[in-house]
Amino acid sequence: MEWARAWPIVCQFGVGSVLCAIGLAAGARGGYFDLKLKADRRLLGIVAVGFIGLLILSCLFTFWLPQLPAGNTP
Amino acid sequence: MTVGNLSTPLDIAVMITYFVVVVGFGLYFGRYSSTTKDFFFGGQRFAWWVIAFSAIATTVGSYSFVKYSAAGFSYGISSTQSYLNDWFWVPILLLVWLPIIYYQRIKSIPEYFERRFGRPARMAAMVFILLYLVGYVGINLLTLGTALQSILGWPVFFGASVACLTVTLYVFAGGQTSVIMTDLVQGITLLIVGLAVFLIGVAHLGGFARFWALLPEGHRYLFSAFNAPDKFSFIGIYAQDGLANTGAFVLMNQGMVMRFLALRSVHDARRMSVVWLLVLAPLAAITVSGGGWIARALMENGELDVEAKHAFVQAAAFLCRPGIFGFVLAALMAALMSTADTLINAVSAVFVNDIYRPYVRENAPDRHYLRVARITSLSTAAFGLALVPLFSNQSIYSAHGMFTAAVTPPIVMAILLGVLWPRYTPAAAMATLVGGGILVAVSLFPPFDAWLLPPFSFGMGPDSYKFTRALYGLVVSGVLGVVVTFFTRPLPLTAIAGLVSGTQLDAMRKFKGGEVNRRPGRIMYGHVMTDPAIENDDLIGIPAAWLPDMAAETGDLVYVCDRRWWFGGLRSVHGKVGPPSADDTLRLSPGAMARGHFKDGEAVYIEKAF
Repeated sequence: MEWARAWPIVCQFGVGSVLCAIGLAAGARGGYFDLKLKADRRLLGIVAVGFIGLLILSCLFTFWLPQLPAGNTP
Repeated sequence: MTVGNLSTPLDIAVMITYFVVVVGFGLYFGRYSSTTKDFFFGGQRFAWWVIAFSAIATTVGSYSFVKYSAAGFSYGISSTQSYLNDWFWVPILLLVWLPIIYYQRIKSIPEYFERRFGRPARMAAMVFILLYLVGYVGINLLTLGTALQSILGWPVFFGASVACLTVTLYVFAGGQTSVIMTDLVQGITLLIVGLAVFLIGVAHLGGFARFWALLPEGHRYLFSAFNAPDKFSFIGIYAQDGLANTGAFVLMNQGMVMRFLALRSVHDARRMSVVWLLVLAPLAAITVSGGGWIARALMENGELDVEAKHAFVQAAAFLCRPGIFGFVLAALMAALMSTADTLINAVSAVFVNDIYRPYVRENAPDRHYLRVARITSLSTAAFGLALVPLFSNQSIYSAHGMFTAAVTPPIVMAILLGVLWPRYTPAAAMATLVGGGILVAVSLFPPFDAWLLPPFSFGMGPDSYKFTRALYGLVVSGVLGVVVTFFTRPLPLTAIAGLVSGTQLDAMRKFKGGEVNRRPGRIMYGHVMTDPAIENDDLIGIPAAWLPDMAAETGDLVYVCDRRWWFGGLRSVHGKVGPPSADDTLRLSPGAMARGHFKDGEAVYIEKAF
């Protein structure tokens, strides 16, 4: 396990979470993004699912799948 | 080795047939383009799925198959990282930028700059964007010419001319409507073909497990190492693609902005963005990279000896039978043409809306501007063609990288600060655009690059500069903007209402012309009839009994659309709730019926626009 491989995930999802937070806050300011509306709640859910899904995918292809098959030989 | 050595006459015939079909498709849909709104924004009527697929065709650029397959061959699945870092921009795109440009009816990015910062900022943004777009037209035509040279043996300039004429033909006829419909076909084609090449390769190798085992271990990581190698480090790719290029793609790419504005509603923009970025973009990443991964696995298996830059074409030729390989060539052409057509249409929009209309002839009839738009499309194509010999002097990849790195960071940062920060001033926007542009341009030349870029290169050498320059550009442009803002007087909020975050509802009110009704309502289904008594084309007579279910009131914006989903919104019209109809049909004026391409008695549905 090369832990240095974690840095891209930290960087991409760290900066990504800041970008998402800025967008959500800027949307909510002034009431355009309104969690009382079903469509906006759904959008928030989709943003979260997308974020977490990509994070899981990134972790799988960084910490687990590259080591398969063991021994690195065809 | 050229593709010409690999393709058979049957392959060439398939590819040429595809060419003809796409052009015919584009010309056919040209009949839906009769106003500048149709020519630039497709009549603002399209369904989310049409725009999602057409956007993928635009996203997969002219160089994508070659560039990402070469990266996939050399570095493995980390070649997809450029396509997986777009999602984080979704909240800014959907909750801030899109409602502002859609509801403010902003026709071009420079127009936003004028309304937010004043005319000098518009001029500066226009120069940047026209350089960006026209340069891209030249690069795309060069790539098209190069591809046709390797397939048919034609000289590059001749191939570029033929491709340019082909694309220009349907852009001239139908503008954005033809671009969207042809790109829909091209997006589906290139996704199917690219995925098919990958899956056929996996099957040939004996399944996913065998394919995976054949890849060297270093090729199995989703991300390259943080700061190595210099030419493909994570941080370099992330700075250039994840920050600058994606920011540019969603905020300042006139072609993409026009695509968003072609959607029938902001609600459809949400659906489109989710499908585009979360489903189609990852598929596109496999589409453009898969050939390189398969080529590498075939090489490791001792079946193919291949160079990185030919990985996609050689792997496809190895795996596909004659005739089928023709579809691969067609997919390459699809990627090339779908980017070029968008760019030509975008340049036309900027010229008409930012130069011709305000400075040459104001308040002319719409048909006059439509004629100018068509002539501009022709002129843009000709000018782009003239650039082909200039761009031939460098490799496509480095020319594209340098150009993008130089012009995008200042304008991305100016838009970002402009929409997110009401205090950001016009003087600061000029400092960001002009000062940032100069500082980035300086960094392109030695010895300044060696002085300015190392702090942004995370210990990497000069080979990383063309990637990390984007980060430098964003930082210096942003710092200039913030510093100047604190020393200059901001505009009052009333002057920029509807143009900055926190005022999106003002933009909605302006769009509707009254208070916004956001109560969720149902879609209603019925039939449409012409009512000559309705003189205002914007008013739609709706059965009174439907209004409570629709949660609609008189004056609310509604959208009437043909029920056949496969039209994708082509037969539809926007309007306002007018006087109730006497029976249970929807009543439209003759003008609205013609605009929506409806016939009496056709089955339609109606919904509130928001």
